[in-house]
Amino acid sequence: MSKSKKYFYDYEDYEDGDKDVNTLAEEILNDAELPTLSEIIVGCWGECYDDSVQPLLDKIAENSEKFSHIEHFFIGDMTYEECEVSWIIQGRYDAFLKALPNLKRLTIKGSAELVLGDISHPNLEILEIICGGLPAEALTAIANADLPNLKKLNLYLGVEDYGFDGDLEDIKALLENKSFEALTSLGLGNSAMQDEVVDVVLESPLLNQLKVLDFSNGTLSDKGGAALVQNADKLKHLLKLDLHHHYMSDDMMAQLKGLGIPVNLDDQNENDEAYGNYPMLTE
Amino acid sequence: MTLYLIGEPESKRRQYFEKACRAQDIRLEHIDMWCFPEDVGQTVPKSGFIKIEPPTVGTSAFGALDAHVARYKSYLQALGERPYHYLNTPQAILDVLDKKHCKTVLRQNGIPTAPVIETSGINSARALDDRLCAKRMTAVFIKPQFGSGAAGVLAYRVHPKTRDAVLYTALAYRDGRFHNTKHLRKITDRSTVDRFVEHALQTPHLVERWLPKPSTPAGMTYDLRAVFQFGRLDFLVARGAKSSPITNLHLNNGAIDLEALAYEAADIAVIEALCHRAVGCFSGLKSAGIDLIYNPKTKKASVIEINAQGDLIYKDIYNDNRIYTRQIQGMRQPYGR
Repeated sequence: MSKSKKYFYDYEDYEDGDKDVNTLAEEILNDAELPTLSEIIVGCWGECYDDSVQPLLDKIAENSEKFSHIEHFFIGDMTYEECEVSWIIQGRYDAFLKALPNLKRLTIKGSAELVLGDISHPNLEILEIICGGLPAEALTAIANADLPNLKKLNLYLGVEDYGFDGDLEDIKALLENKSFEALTSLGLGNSAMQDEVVDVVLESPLLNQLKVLDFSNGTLSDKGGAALVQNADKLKHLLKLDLHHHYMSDDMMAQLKGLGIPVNLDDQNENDEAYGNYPMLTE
Repeated sequence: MTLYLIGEPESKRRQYFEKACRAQDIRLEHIDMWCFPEDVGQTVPKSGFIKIEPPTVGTSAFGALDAHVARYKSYLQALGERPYHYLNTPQAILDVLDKKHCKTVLRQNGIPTAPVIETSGINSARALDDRLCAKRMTAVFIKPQFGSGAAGVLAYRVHPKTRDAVLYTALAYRDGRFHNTKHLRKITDRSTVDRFVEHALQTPHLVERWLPKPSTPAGMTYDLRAVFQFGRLDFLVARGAKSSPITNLHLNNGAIDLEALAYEAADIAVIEALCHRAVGCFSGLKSAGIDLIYNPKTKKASVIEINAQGDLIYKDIYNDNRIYTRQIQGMRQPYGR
């Protein structure tokens, strides 16, 4: 039976400076419940905008035998109340992943100082990165990664102001990863160039093996919607097309509902003439 | 017995208070909010029991708030010189209307509440940033000193190293003026943030630490509105917000069922005890809406704000109308009726 536990600090825990990422790492390591857990969620580790999570990742890697049974790690599970997502200081994940060969799912929130490095993992099934701006290094790392069992990949691409420094070529390269034989769920959302991302994916042979496609939370407009409608044949095998949080018109939404596949069109936004359209998660 | 309601001519408050009066066979006489207090004297006998409703501003223009508050304060001060019985005395209303004074009284009485940061002499956003970073208080609420609810409130956060800033507010700036709206926005453009912050600093205000709110299992942050009357917790509702730190039921934030929070009796007891202590700090306050943060993990509660007229809860008036019913029962008590 799977058991999950979240480790985090409230403001009162760390306001006096006694608790930080190092103490949280020790608490996790010394928790008597650790052997019973299958999922570990790491929330606010103190002044997350000032202190990287790296010491915690290192501590887990150094004591990997104690975490070999963990199937899911979520690093950075915190709301804006605790820390703006773009202020969360992440860390480097290659050694962490290498130390945990049984890990099946990794969720990362925040992308400041995020480095994925060389990734080769035999058992990872789900990789999800939630952020306001995904660095090009992460896209390249995933493009070059060896993830033969990866079933679901969900990336919040974000905006340039908050760390996205990639381009469509980086996304194309990611879609060409030959190790993604098991991939059936792909999310490339929360993008300021969501229409263009749709175009790139529609041209990718990877689309044929997918069951779930997620372009949610971005600036998807009627342009991107029209591309989806025009390529209906390429999408008819999908079990789900997630387009929630978008900037499409009622008319385009009606056309998409006619695709004959389940489409999530919730959270329709009006064009912001004053400030421009933004993805859901940025700062 | 006759109760006297001083308030706006047409309002949900009046409508549902009247409904509660009718249910208890109590006669209610309404007195227009802005008649001079002398007119009150012509209507209300010395033994009369008065409930004072809050006036509505009548415009979204934020700049109108100061004049509105000044007028209301004068009215309350004049009314307070009259020897009537009140649900909440004019002085009690004045005491909690002034957020700075209210905060001082709470802290003097050891009531847990967010710490305040002194900002006298600070007129620019950058100077505020320097002060906040020096005090290691980089997430704050900037609130108008007088007023209630979310009107004019800024939730402000500055990164101590990069000095990037984020602002959450229901204020909007258009046509050269600030307006209160029902729409919460997040602002990250630095020049826009500076404009809002500097405007707030140039008006009577209070800056207090932004205490992070807890989250429901479904991921909604929330705080609590308690209605505490005549020594008893009469209503408790959680106000949820998905993407903003500013919670206010009249901004159409989601009211969360308490069942979803799975509070135990011990949790409610902590909340009620704090409400009792907080209200006890203000003589003449028998009914209060109290905004709280409660951490079920630590069993600690903090008062965010007290509102002497925070009794309008839609979840209640459209159901049992319990709050107004209890108010009337409490007001009848001295008369044994």
